[in-house]
Amino acid sequence: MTSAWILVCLIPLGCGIGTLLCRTARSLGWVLAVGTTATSVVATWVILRTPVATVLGGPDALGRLLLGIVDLVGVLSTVESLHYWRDELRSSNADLVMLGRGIRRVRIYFFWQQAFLASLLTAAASGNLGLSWVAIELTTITSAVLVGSSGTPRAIEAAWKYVVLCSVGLALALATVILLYALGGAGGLGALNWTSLTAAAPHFPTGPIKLAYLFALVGFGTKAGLAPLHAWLPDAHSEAPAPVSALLSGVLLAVVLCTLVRVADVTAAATGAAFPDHLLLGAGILSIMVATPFLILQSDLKRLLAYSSIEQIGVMAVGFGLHVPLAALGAILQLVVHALTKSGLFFTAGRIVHDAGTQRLLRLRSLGVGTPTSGAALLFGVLTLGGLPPFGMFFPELAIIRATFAQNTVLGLGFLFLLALTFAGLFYHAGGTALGRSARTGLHRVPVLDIAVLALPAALTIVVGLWAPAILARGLEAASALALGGGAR
Amino acid sequence: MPGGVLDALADALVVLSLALLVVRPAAWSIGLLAAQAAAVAALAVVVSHGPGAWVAVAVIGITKVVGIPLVLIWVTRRTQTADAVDWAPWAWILGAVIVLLVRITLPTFSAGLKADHAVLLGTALTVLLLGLAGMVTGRLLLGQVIHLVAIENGLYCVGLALTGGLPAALELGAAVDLLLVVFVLAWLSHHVHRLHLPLHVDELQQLRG
Repeated sequence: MTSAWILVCLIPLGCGIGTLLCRTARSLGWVLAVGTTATSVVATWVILRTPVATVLGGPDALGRLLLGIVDLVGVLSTVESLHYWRDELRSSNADLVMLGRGIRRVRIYFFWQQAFLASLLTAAASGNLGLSWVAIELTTITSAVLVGSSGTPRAIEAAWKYVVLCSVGLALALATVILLYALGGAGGLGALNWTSLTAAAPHFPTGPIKLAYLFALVGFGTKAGLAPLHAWLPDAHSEAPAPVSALLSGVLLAVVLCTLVRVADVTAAATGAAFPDHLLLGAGILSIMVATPFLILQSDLKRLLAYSSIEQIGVMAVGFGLHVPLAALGAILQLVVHALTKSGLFFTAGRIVHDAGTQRLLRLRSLGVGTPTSGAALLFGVLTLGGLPPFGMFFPELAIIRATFAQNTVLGLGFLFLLALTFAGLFYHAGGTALGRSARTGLHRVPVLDIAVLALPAALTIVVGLWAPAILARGLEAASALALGGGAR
Repeated sequence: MPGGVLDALADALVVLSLALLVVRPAAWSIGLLAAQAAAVAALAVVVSHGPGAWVAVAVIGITKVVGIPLVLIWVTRRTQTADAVDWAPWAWILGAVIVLLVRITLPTFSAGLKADHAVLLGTALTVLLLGLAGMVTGRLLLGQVIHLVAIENGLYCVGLALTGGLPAALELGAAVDLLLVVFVLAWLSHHVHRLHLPLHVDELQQLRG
């Protein structure tokens, strides 16, 4: 069972095909329950066992951490999707449901959602650059269908821009794969394993490897939402159904950023750390700078969260680009906390938008957030993203801020100033909305499972950020060591 | 490697790529794209020997010579699209500059490569850059799809020149991904037409800020 991780990627695909065959909502629920449970059980087994190298490159410590996060957010997204469709079908024409057209739309949605999850799990777990590239390209295809699934003009435009920009970006990233394959001796698919590339990298000539890294920065940077190649991100993340936005913002960006960081590690082994890390640091700072005015002047709730993702990815890039253990550990911890927080925030935003019928922040302030649960979840998420103590993002952001000051005081002050501005923008809009009046009151009206989907990621951010259990702490340290090049540089 | 055949195929690829940049009718552009893919498949046979080359030919043939053009023909009929390229006289000049630039700088960046591989690399970069130029200058949705495929064809040739062919699993994965991307874009084009949205990139401006 050396390739058990492939099973983790195939189960959601099988589950998606299974949903297409369902004729009733009850059978659909059962297929999804069995599929997500089986995926989680196998994923847990893969994460806990000792990694074994295979020709397809099984998951290392970083891959296993990403696998766990993607699976967790995937389960939450699937449960929230059931909530999303229950609300959608209730608010649509009852005759449509009677005719079975409603359940057809749901089946198609869940097929693509599970296919998206399968490609995400593959990209997260794969220890092979070639396979990761194919899987990341597949995430574009599967998620683009979901982005455009509502069929509105805005959704279709967002999906078009998303597919075209990310496909061109990933085509350039394919040039990285080709160059690294050529430099590694073109010895079959195994030559693209991260372990093989890192071992061979010290012998690579510096010119071609720098070119390969530049292609990766543009290609994977586009897909990770790094400025100035982020144009597609606010459109796609705001127009997708909320459970899909959670996967896009929470985990897809992080998985692609980690692929870029791994290419940076290979490059650093050949050229020294300065060249790849300074570029990554610059892209991170630029991303935060670009996102800041849009966070302050934003008028749309979901776009606010999308720009916050650009800022957060920028902070992670700074953490990785600083190339010190403290900052790398902070970036990994931030990746985990952001995945949980942002997914919870998008679930909340989806419910608020459904209740109010608008995404406009000004209207939402006057209409209210729907239920006290939504208000509390929105406020909790915003305070977490702001890095305030005692919330989960406090320690990771503190670690990265300390590392920036250790590197350069001006850099540290600028970084701190930008973070303060982004928090002010986020809190003014989302916090103001959350603290506005609630149109409905009474926690008893919200089913327990619906509260659990919001409460579980929130509780986990506290656990991860403030009290990391020993097994998790070991995983985080191992992943951050790999993100630093695994001691190779 | 038979040098005469390689040179002829390389020249044919450059001419086809230049034509893709400037030929206006959609039907012609789709035909040129299929011909470009067929030339790439022929190059794969000439450059890389053995069963791997025939796998590559089968993959390219099914996806890029037949599959993608059929999907694009469906799009043109469904959306009643007549043109793939909006008329840009300076596209000729841009194309010529790219071809000349690659020819002039080729000895610098192909130093150390065998003569045949240097020719192939020059052709690959020309096809890739012409595809990128088409993507940047073209403003029609169908043209964007066509030039995206042309970029991938150029990258495939870069892979042939530098490695003699990528691993079969990666080639298959990349080709299937591209076919699926074209399927999704075709589906989106259908919705663009259904919603009476403009088929022009500059006019897709509902999402801002």
